[in-house]
Amino acid sequence: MDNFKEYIDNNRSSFENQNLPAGHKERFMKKLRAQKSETKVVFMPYWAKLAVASAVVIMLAIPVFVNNRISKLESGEYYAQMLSEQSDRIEKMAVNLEPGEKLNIESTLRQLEDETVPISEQLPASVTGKERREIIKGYYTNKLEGAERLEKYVASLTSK
Amino acid sequence: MNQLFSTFRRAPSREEQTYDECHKRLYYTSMRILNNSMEAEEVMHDTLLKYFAREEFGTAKERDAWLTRVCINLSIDRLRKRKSDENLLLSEELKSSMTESDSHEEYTFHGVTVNQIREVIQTLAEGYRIILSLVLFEGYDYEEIAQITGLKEVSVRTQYIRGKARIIEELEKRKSNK
Repeated sequence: MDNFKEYIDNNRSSFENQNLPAGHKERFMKKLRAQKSETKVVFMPYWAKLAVASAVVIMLAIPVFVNNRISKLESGEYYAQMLSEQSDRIEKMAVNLEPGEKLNIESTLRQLEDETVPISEQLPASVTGKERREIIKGYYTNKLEGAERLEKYVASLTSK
Repeated sequence: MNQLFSTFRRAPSREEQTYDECHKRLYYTSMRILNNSMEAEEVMHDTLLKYFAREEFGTAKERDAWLTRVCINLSIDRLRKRKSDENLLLSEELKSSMTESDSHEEYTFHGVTVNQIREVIQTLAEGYRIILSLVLFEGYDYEEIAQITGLKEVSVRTQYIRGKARIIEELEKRKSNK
């Protein structure tokens, strides 16, 4: 070991025996109290914590909901579901109609609903999201209007 | 009566306990670097305040190592602010990466008092004082000191040898003047 280091180690306590400035602890405790009061956490009631937590959950859920809705619009799933519900309604209304008339209505509904290749799969990849939504909306609007006219027609037959 | 009062005396807080355990060591560490009792006290306080603001240490050894390192860094920062560049730790002389051999390796410190060494250390340039203090009192190796000071490891070693040589030369001079 280095002689100098050995000397220091052997006399360490003699090197560290000077008095510290008087009042050092009191000055420190004062600084500590000041630091504590600066960083003191503001009390928050339970209901406020709950409100903040709910707001955070809602904020996080909104993008998920919006994305889900956009993807349904872009794939046509949203409109297909509306059309399917309308078809079910018409089919139920047409249950008591004459067999010939009933067959005619069911055939029209199949034509409206059936898609050999869904419209979303027919669109080229180069089409932007907005354009895709517009095309799909136009395509299904025609079908939904047709289903609406059919529903009115069935309603007029059942009321006779 | 005194016994009765001492029973009711409030127990020291956790911060007070830590302060009592660590403050002296930090004060002397800072004092050796800064050579100024008021500034050393402020550094000691700042170090402990930083510790209480982000306390997350498992063992007392980890805590002490962290405190020492912060105390040294704060002391060196203060020194940098206080001194002009030519006197500072990173002066050209101290940056020198020339290796030197320790010609005083065999020097024995017989007849030398702690006060004499303390006085001589206080007269050294800050750069030497920091390196000698970190090697001799804090037990850091050259690599660790290089990290702390931003010097090359070889420069730290050289400065340690030069600083030590200056101390020994000064001690010898004082002996011969007697």
